[in-house]
Amino acid sequence: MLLALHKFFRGYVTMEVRGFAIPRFINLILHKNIYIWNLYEDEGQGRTFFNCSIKAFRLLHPAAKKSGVRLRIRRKQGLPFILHKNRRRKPWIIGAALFMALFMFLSSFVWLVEITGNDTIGSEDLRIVLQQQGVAPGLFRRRISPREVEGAVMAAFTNISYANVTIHGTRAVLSVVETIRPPQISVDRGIPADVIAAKDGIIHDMATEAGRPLVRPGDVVAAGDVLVSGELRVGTDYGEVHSYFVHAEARVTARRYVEYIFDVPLYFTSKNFTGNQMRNYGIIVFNTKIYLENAPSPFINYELSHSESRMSFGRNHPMPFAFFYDIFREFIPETEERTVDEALIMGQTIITSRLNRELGEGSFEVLNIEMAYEETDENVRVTAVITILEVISMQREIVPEIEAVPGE
Amino acid sequence: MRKKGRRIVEALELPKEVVFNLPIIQALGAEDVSITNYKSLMEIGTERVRINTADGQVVFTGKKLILKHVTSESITVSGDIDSIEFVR
Repeated sequence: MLLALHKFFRGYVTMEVRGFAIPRFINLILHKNIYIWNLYEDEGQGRTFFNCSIKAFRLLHPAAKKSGVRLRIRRKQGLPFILHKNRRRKPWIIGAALFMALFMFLSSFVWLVEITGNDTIGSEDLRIVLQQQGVAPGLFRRRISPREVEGAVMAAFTNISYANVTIHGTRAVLSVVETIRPPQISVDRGIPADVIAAKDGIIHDMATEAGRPLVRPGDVVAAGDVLVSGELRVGTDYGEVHSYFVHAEARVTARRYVEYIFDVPLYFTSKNFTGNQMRNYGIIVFNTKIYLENAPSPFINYELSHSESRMSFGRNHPMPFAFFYDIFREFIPETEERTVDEALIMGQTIITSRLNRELGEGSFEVLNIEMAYEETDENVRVTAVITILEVISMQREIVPEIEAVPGE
Repeated sequence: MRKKGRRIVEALELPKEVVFNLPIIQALGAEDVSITNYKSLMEIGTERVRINTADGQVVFTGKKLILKHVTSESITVSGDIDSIEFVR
């Protein structure tokens, strides 16, 4: 492919050789370090063809004379010949120049903005910030200062720790790295703090590193209760009690009960695709959609999907033209029934995904799930009590009281 | 002399293609056969291509033979190749 392109741009000729000493002629020209290709004999005609570059062509004649063969140009191919042939045709040259100018003009804009690396931040939110900074399809490429855009993106979102903007041709790429938020609020070491309970529960296990534990495993605590105090009390020989404050640290896990009540429908519809499909298509010029075929859907139940292929010169020169399809795929909705057992299995998955969503995956351990159910006409009502083990400790800064009452 | 030289080369594990200028023939199925380190082309035909090397002649026979690439270093023969023969 690359070689063919090179050949096209440099131009080449197909030569016809006649005579007795053709191998000798070929050997002679090869000694001049010439590359030739597609060398073959035209059977029964006593002639041989080969291709060589324009540059090599100039070196052929001495060898032809020496070996006594006759040379003829059979075909001229490639850009130099096309240009030469059309050099007197004004409209052709103007057209070619206009095309080049248009291409260069269109290349000075950004036509495609790609965003990678965002997980929790929506691409649309990032696009809005980028647009404010002048990075959007159809905006001038030279005005973009990648460093400034990066700064603006970082400033707009606190949970982005790294942003990089690169412009390849007409394609702008923003890659971001999101910060993983610390799992719990913690107070700087050195600042006196208590460890408190973030949630209600029964203490299961405590690992105290610093501070004075106030509860023991088995105790029932409520959210906000102090679990490990940062206040240390020291009694002196004179019966006075002095207190001073430390930065308490502990990891406290508790057994907690979570109750979920939800319905699992006994009837559900599934999509049976019939295989019938219809498509509308059109082109996108700049940011405008133009439908070339825009018929209403002939199906009552259908799923719509959209696909787009953008015209692009190589990977890095997307152009503001694209071809798109809207595909309607017909399906027949079918009502299916599930048994109570299946509904309960479904319930298990619902519980797991809900716990993961609400508490964060991996931050808890499920000890037990107790499910009770009640069957109605259309649903199974599941009441589940889940016992989980979770870290509930959280640090809270101690705000020192101005005047501690002595003895208390 | 030649025999002695061969023994020395083999003992020292020197690359033979460099020392004796032997041709390297690489075949991509029966479609493309490239031959490096040749001396000269002797015959170019649709059914027979003869190439002279330091190790004698290499004769390609087949149908619709075509020399796809020819440089002073190597030749690629393609087409329906039936046989590659060494004639010494």
